[in-house]
Amino acid sequence: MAWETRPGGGRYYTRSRRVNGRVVREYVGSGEKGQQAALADAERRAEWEAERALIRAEQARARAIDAELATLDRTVDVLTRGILLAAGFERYKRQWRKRDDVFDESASQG
Amino acid sequence: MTSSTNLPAKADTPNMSVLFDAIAKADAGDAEALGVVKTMLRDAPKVVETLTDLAYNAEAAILANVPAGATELFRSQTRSLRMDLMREGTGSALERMLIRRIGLDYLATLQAERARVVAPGETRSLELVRLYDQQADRAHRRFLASVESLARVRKLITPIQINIADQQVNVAGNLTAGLESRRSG
Repeated sequence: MAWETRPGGGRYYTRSRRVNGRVVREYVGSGEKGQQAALADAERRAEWEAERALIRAEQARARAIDAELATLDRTVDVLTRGILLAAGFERYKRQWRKRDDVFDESASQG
Repeated sequence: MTSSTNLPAKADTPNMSVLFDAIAKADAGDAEALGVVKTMLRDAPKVVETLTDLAYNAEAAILANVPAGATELFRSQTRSLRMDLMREGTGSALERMLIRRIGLDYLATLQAERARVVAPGETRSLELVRLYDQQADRAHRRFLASVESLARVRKLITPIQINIADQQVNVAGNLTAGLESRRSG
Protein backbone atom coordinates (compact mmCIF):
# COMPACT_ATOMS: atom_id res chain seq x y z
CA MET A 1 0.00 0.00 0.00
CA ALA A 2 1.51 3.32 -1.03
CA TRP A 3 0.88 6.72 -2.44
CA GLU A 4 2.09 7.10 -6.00
CA THR A 5 2.80 10.43 -7.65
CA ARG A 6 1.81 10.47 -11.33
CA PRO A 7 3.72 12.48 -13.95
CA GLY A 8 0.76 14.86 -14.23
CA GLY A 9 1.09 15.77 -10.52
CA GLY A 10 -1.80 13.74 -9.10
CA ARG A 11 -1.27 11.47 -6.07
CA TYR A 12 -2.96 8.10 -6.14
CA TYR A 13 -3.31 5.63 -3.31
CA THR A 14 -2.44 2.12 -4.52
CA ARG A 15 -2.65 -1.37 -3.16
CA SER A 16 -0.36 -4.15 -4.33
CA ARG A 17 -1.24 -7.83 -4.11
CA ARG A 18 0.07 -11.03 -5.58
CA VAL A 19 -2.09 -12.84 -8.16
CA ASN A 20 -0.75 -16.11 -9.62
CA GLY A 21 2.77 -15.16 -8.61
CA ARG A 22 2.63 -11.72 -10.18
CA VAL A 23 2.30 -8.44 -8.32
CA VAL A 24 -0.84 -6.60 -9.36
CA ARG A 25 -1.21 -2.96 -8.39
CA GLU A 26 -4.69 -1.65 -7.78
CA TYR A 27 -5.27 2.10 -8.09
CA VAL A 28 -7.72 2.93 -5.27
CA GLY A 29 -8.07 6.64 -5.81
CA SER A 30 -6.78 10.11 -5.04
CA GLY A 31 -7.92 12.84 -2.68
CA GLU A 32 -10.37 11.97 0.11
CA LYS A 33 -11.14 8.51 -1.28
CA GLY A 34 -7.44 7.67 -1.24
CA GLN A 35 -7.05 9.09 2.29
CA GLN A 36 -9.92 6.97 3.61
CA ALA A 37 -8.56 3.81 1.99
CA ALA A 38 -5.08 4.54 3.37
CA LEU A 39 -6.50 5.06 6.87
CA ALA A 40 -8.53 1.83 6.70
CA ASP A 41 -5.48 -0.10 5.47
CA ALA A 42 -3.32 1.35 8.26
CA GLU A 43 -5.88 0.26 10.88
CA ARG A 44 -6.08 -3.23 9.42
CA ARG A 45 -2.29 -3.48 9.37
CA ALA A 46 -2.02 -2.31 12.99
CA GLU A 47 -4.60 -4.93 14.04
CA TRP A 48 -2.76 -7.63 12.14
CA GLU A 49 0.57 -6.64 13.70
CA ALA A 50 -0.97 -6.58 17.18
CA GLU A 51 -2.40 -10.06 16.58
CA ARG A 52 0.99 -11.32 15.37
CA ALA A 53 2.67 -9.88 18.48
CA LEU A 54 0.06 -11.53 20.72
CA ILE A 55 0.53 -14.89 18.99
CA ARG A 56 4.31 -14.64 19.36
CA ALA A 57 3.96 -13.74 23.05
CA GLU A 58 1.50 -16.58 23.71
CA GLN A 59 3.71 -19.08 21.85
CA ALA A 60 6.69 -18.01 23.98
CA ARG A 61 4.60 -18.29 27.13
CA ALA A 62 3.37 -21.79 26.19
CA ARG A 63 6.94 -22.85 25.44
CA ALA A 64 8.09 -21.56 28.85
CA ILE A 65 5.31 -23.45 30.68
CA ASP A 66 6.00 -26.65 28.72
CA ALA A 67 9.73 -26.41 29.42
CA GLU A 68 9.29 -25.88 33.17
CA LEU A 69 6.76 -28.70 33.50
CA ALA A 70 8.90 -31.03 31.37
CA THR A 71 11.88 -30.44 33.68
CA LEU A 72 9.69 -31.12 36.70
CA ASP A 73 8.26 -34.25 35.02
CA ARG A 74 11.70 -35.69 34.30
CA THR A 75 12.84 -35.09 37.89
CA VAL A 76 9.68 -36.56 39.43
CA ASP A 77 9.81 -39.60 37.12
CA VAL A 78 13.44 -40.37 37.98
CA LEU A 79 12.89 -39.88 41.72
CA THR A 80 9.76 -42.05 41.60
CA ARG A 81 11.76 -44.76 39.90
CA GLY A 82 14.53 -44.43 42.50
CA ILE A 83 12.15 -44.57 45.47
CA LEU A 84 10.30 -47.60 44.05
CA LEU A 85 13.56 -49.41 43.31
CA ALA A 86 14.82 -48.64 46.82
CA ALA A 87 11.55 -49.86 48.29
CA GLY A 88 12.04 -53.26 46.69
CA PHE A 89 10.14 -52.92 43.44
CA GLU A 90 11.42 -53.68 39.96
CA ARG A 91 10.20 -53.04 36.46
CA TYR A 92 9.21 -56.08 34.47
CA LYS A 93 7.76 -55.68 30.98
CA ARG A 94 7.10 -51.99 31.68
CA GLN A 95 5.15 -52.84 34.82
CA TRP A 96 6.30 -52.35 38.39
CA ARG A 97 6.20 -55.37 40.70
CA LYS A 98 7.63 -56.36 44.05
CA ARG A 99 11.02 -58.05 43.74
CA ASP A 100 10.95 -61.74 44.69
CA ASP A 101 14.16 -61.48 46.69
CA VAL A 102 13.20 -58.38 48.64
CA PHE A 103 12.34 -60.19 51.86
CA ASP A 104 15.37 -62.48 51.69
CA GLU A 105 17.53 -59.44 51.18
CA SER A 106 16.12 -57.57 54.14
CA ALA A 107 16.39 -60.68 56.26
CA SER A 108 20.06 -61.04 55.42
CA GLN A 109 20.65 -57.40 56.29
CA GLY A 110 18.70 -57.47 59.51
CA MET B 1 25.16 -55.30 49.18
CA THR B 2 25.08 -51.62 50.04
CA SER B 3 28.15 -49.90 48.74
CA SER B 4 29.48 -46.77 50.37
CA THR B 5 32.01 -46.06 47.64
CA ASN B 6 31.60 -42.92 45.53
CA LEU B 7 28.93 -41.59 47.86
CA PRO B 8 28.80 -37.87 48.59
CA ALA B 9 28.93 -36.64 52.18
CA LYS B 10 25.73 -37.24 54.15
CA ALA B 11 23.38 -34.30 53.66
CA ASP B 12 19.69 -33.48 53.75
CA THR B 13 19.64 -33.18 49.97
CA PRO B 14 21.89 -35.43 47.91
CA ASN B 15 23.90 -34.61 44.83
CA MET B 16 21.11 -35.03 42.30
CA SER B 17 23.30 -35.91 39.32
CA VAL B 18 24.99 -38.70 41.33
CA LEU B 19 21.57 -39.91 42.52
CA PHE B 20 20.04 -39.81 39.03
CA ASP B 21 23.02 -41.68 37.60
CA ALA B 22 22.70 -44.36 40.29
CA ILE B 23 18.93 -44.65 39.67
CA ALA B 24 19.51 -45.17 35.94
CA LYS B 25 22.07 -47.91 36.66
CA ALA B 26 19.88 -49.53 39.32
CA ASP B 27 16.95 -49.52 36.91
CA ALA B 28 19.15 -51.39 34.45
CA GLY B 29 19.80 -54.07 37.07
CA ASP B 30 23.02 -52.86 38.70
CA ALA B 31 22.82 -54.18 42.29
CA GLU B 32 25.66 -51.98 43.55
CA ALA B 33 23.95 -48.87 42.15
CA LEU B 34 20.72 -49.93 43.86
CA GLY B 35 22.64 -49.96 47.13
CA VAL B 36 23.87 -46.45 46.41
CA VAL B 37 20.29 -45.30 45.69
CA LYS B 38 19.02 -46.80 48.93
CA THR B 39 21.82 -45.22 50.95
CA MET B 40 21.36 -41.81 49.34
CA LEU B 41 17.60 -41.81 49.83
CA ARG B 42 17.96 -43.01 53.43
CA ASP B 43 20.60 -40.40 54.25
CA ALA B 44 18.72 -37.61 52.51
CA PRO B 45 15.08 -37.84 53.56
CA LYS B 46 14.43 -34.36 52.19
CA VAL B 47 15.25 -35.38 48.64
CA VAL B 48 11.70 -34.60 47.59
CA GLU B 49 12.18 -31.03 48.78
CA THR B 50 14.65 -30.50 45.95
CA LEU B 51 11.59 -30.11 43.78
CA THR B 52 10.74 -26.84 45.49
CA ASP B 53 12.74 -24.69 43.08
CA LEU B 54 11.42 -26.54 40.04
CA ALA B 55 7.85 -26.25 41.30
CA TYR B 56 8.31 -22.54 42.03
CA ASN B 57 9.64 -21.91 38.51
CA ALA B 58 6.81 -23.89 36.93
CA GLU B 59 4.17 -22.03 38.94
CA ALA B 60 5.72 -18.67 38.03
CA ALA B 61 5.65 -19.59 34.33
CA ILE B 62 2.04 -20.78 34.51
CA LEU B 63 0.76 -17.73 36.37
CA ALA B 64 2.75 -15.12 34.41
CA ASN B 65 0.35 -12.38 33.22
CA VAL B 66 -2.64 -14.03 34.90
CA PRO B 67 -4.66 -11.36 36.76
CA ALA B 68 -4.31 -11.35 40.56
CA GLY B 69 -7.93 -12.40 41.18
CA ALA B 70 -7.69 -15.41 38.88
CA THR B 71 -4.28 -16.30 40.36
CA GLU B 72 -5.76 -16.45 43.86
CA LEU B 73 -8.75 -18.48 42.68
CA PHE B 74 -6.53 -20.96 40.80
CA ARG B 75 -4.18 -21.33 43.78
CA SER B 76 -7.11 -21.96 46.08
CA GLN B 77 -8.61 -24.60 43.72
CA THR B 78 -5.20 -26.27 43.39
CA ARG B 79 -4.67 -26.28 47.17
CA SER B 80 -8.08 -27.85 47.61
CA LEU B 81 -7.32 -30.61 45.09
CA ARG B 82 -3.96 -31.34 46.72
CA MET B 83 -5.54 -31.54 50.16
CA ASP B 84 -8.21 -33.95 48.90
CA LEU B 85 -5.56 -36.16 47.31
CA MET B 86 -3.41 -36.06 50.45
CA ARG B 87 -6.35 -37.13 52.59
CA GLU B 88 -6.90 -40.21 50.42
CA GLY B 89 -3.30 -41.40 50.55
CA THR B 90 -0.71 -42.71 52.94
CA GLY B 91 1.18 -39.42 53.19
CA SER B 92 4.43 -40.99 51.96
CA ALA B 93 7.16 -38.78 50.53
CA LEU B 94 6.59 -40.32 47.11
CA GLU B 95 2.89 -39.52 47.19
CA ARG B 96 3.53 -35.96 48.33
CA MET B 97 5.88 -35.48 45.39
CA LEU B 98 3.39 -36.88 42.89
CA ILE B 99 0.56 -34.82 44.36
CA ARG B 100 2.69 -31.71 44.05
CA ARG B 101 3.13 -32.43 40.36
CA ILE B 102 -0.59 -33.05 39.94
CA GLY B 103 -1.23 -29.66 41.57
CA LEU B 104 1.01 -27.89 39.07
CA ASP B 105 -0.48 -29.73 36.12
CA TYR B 106 -3.95 -28.83 37.37
CA LEU B 107 -2.89 -25.19 37.69
CA ALA B 108 -1.71 -25.32 34.08
CA THR B 109 -5.09 -26.68 32.94
CA LEU B 110 -6.91 -23.89 34.79
CA GLN B 111 -4.70 -21.28 33.15
CA ALA B 112 -5.07 -22.86 29.71
CA GLU B 113 -8.86 -23.01 30.04
CA ARG B 114 -8.95 -19.36 31.12
CA ALA B 115 -6.89 -18.38 28.07
CA ARG B 116 -9.15 -20.43 25.80
CA VAL B 117 -12.33 -18.63 26.86
CA VAL B 118 -13.30 -15.84 24.45
CA ALA B 119 -14.65 -12.74 26.20
CA PRO B 120 -17.94 -11.24 24.93
CA GLY B 121 -17.24 -9.02 21.94
CA GLU B 122 -13.70 -10.34 21.54
CA THR B 123 -12.60 -11.58 18.13
CA ARG B 124 -9.72 -13.96 17.57
CA SER B 125 -7.85 -15.22 14.57
CA LEU B 126 -8.09 -18.91 13.78
CA GLU B 127 -4.37 -19.23 14.52
CA LEU B 128 -4.79 -17.86 18.05
CA VAL B 129 -7.82 -20.07 18.70
CA ARG B 130 -5.83 -23.10 17.56
CA LEU B 131 -2.87 -22.10 19.75
CA TYR B 132 -5.03 -21.88 22.89
CA ASP B 133 -6.76 -25.18 22.04
CA GLN B 134 -3.44 -26.98 21.63
CA GLN B 135 -2.16 -25.49 24.89
CA ALA B 136 -5.26 -26.69 26.75
CA ASP B 137 -5.03 -30.17 25.18
CA ARG B 138 -1.39 -30.49 26.26
CA ALA B 139 -2.25 -29.33 29.78
CA HIS B 140 -5.08 -31.88 30.08
CA ARG B 141 -2.86 -34.70 28.79
CA ARG B 142 -0.15 -33.82 31.33
CA PHE B 143 -2.70 -33.62 34.15
CA LEU B 144 -4.17 -37.04 33.29
CA ALA B 145 -0.69 -38.59 33.03
CA SER B 146 0.31 -37.28 36.45
CA VAL B 147 -2.95 -38.52 38.02
CA GLU B 148 -2.31 -41.94 36.45
CA SER B 149 1.19 -41.97 37.97
CA LEU B 150 -0.24 -41.43 41.44
CA ALA B 151 -2.89 -44.10 40.88
CA ARG B 152 -0.23 -46.60 39.77
CA VAL B 153 1.91 -45.91 42.81
CA ARG B 154 -1.08 -46.17 45.15
CA LYS B 155 -2.03 -49.49 43.58
CA LEU B 156 1.51 -50.78 44.17
CA ILE B 157 1.82 -49.54 47.70
CA THR B 158 -1.47 -50.53 49.21
CA PRO B 159 -1.46 -49.51 52.84
CA ILE B 160 -1.95 -52.24 55.37
CA GLN B 161 -5.01 -51.26 57.37
CA ILE B 162 -5.22 -52.33 60.97
CA ASN B 163 -8.27 -51.60 63.03
CA ILE B 164 -7.53 -51.19 66.72
CA ALA B 165 -10.75 -50.69 68.62
CA ASP B 166 -12.55 -48.14 66.42
CA GLN B 167 -9.37 -46.47 65.26
CA GLN B 168 -8.02 -47.13 61.80
CA VAL B 169 -4.23 -47.25 61.51
CA ASN B 170 -2.62 -47.26 58.09
CA VAL B 171 0.82 -48.82 58.00
CA ALA B 172 2.65 -47.56 54.95
CA GLY B 173 3.92 -44.11 55.94
CA ASN B 174 6.98 -42.76 54.22
CA LEU B 175 8.42 -45.12 51.64
CA THR B 176 12.01 -44.35 52.44
CA ALA B 177 11.26 -44.40 56.16
CA GLY B 178 9.75 -47.84 55.61
CA LEU B 179 13.03 -48.97 54.15
CA GLU B 180 14.91 -47.73 57.19
CA SER B 181 12.67 -49.52 59.67
CA ARG B 182 13.04 -52.76 57.72
CA ARG B 183 16.81 -52.42 57.80
CA SER B 184 16.96 -51.79 61.51
CA GLY B 185 14.42 -54.53 62.24
